Amino acid sequence: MLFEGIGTHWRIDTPQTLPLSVEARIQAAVAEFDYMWSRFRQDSLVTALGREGGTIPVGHDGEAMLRLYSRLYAATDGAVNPLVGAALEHLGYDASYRLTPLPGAPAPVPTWEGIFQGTTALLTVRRGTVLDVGAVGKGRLVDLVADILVRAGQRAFTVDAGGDMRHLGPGPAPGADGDGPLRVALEHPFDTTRAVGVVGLRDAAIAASATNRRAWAEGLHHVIDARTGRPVSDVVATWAVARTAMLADAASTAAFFLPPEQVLTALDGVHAVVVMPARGPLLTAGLPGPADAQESTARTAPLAYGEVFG
Amino acid sequence: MTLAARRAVTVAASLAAVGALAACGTGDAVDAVETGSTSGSATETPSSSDAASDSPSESASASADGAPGGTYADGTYTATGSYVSPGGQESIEVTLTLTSDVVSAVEVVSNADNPNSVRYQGEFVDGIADVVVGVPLDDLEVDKVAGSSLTSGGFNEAVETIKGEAGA
Repeated sequence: MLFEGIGTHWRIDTPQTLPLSVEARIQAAVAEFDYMWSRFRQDSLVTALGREGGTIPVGHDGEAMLRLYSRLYAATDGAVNPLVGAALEHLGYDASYRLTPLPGAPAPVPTWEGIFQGTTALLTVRRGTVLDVGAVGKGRLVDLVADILVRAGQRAFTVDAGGDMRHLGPGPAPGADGDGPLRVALEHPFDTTRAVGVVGLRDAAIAASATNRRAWAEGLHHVIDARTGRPVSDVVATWAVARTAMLADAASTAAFFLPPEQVLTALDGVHAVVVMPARGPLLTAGLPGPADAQESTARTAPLAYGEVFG
Repeated sequence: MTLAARRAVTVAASLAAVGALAACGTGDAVDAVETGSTSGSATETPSSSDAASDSPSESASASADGAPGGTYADGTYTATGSYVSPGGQESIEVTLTLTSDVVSAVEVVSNADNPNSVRYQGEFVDGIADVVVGVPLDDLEVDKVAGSSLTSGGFNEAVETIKGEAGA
């Protein structure tokens, strides 16, 4: 199943074609998520909240995402903050794709401390506060789609949302022979014909992030350090493997601000992190080598193996 | 392969790697021209690009004086790598000095005027041996590729519009 959603290309691989009813459910879930959370729609909840301020119930997904944001905020000393939307808009990444920064520095990103009480699932913000859930949102939606597939009885699939993917099943690509894990290349951000590593994925998710994909001018891209309101410059790309796509997404964002090992300790359920700094060799944590995979009972290991080149 | 020839391949691989590294878009041809003889202390350029050794021969053959896989004549070799970035044609120039098949000096000059290229080339110029090269996907057997999400919808068009307006 191929489709466009939340601004990227989706591909879902299953052993047999999905029934139309399942496809419809997936399309509906993607559309509803976009309607709630997209900063780029006039009619979204996030846009209304920014325009008017107030208190909203964030729902099941919102609660999961914002609780994860609270953990990220604490772990990165405020570098990752869902209230960073206004700073992104100031730099040009707004709903109209203005892509030209406004003069002067953006207003400081409001603190996330105490903004969201995870127990009530209510969010209160002032007018003009723009929520941006980009650090975990795509992963959350991948997990939602995976959940729909599981409830529909699918036992093997790969959900791929523009390079962030979640795998389930006994083998690699569904329908293929063999018992090996899904082999996933880590795409070189500057040369899409090359890979900087390969990981073997089984019953796990991987997320990738790079500063050159959503970039619109010298030094301006979408990975913002909320403490400064400026895009990061010392890390070029990150990858993370985790139990769920939302966790992988979160970890790949945290890896712009924390050493790989610290990402693993800060977030439960993250199996491995790979970081490509602006200069120097790749940094990794949690990657078992290909040799380890041969010996382990591969069925129990979510991350079957990983290797990086350089 | 003798140690000397292996170093020569490493040198040539560095040239190919520079061509590949400097490309935000597609890599392009590397031309090498011998410009004269010098001597210097024996230091070797470290290379992280053994994986790139599949394509050193194109630049090596342009500059080698000896038999294939043999020694290189002492001298100064200048290679210009050109590539196409979203901002247009860019180039980067590498000058190597070989003494007894050892790289004795390296100089890299960035010819970019596109801001994005200046930024990335600047990083390469400062730390030329310090960048990840990676392996061609064609050499790997993989089921999937994990890269940062390619944008769809209006983002790409908006970027092109901005560039058009900026006259970049």
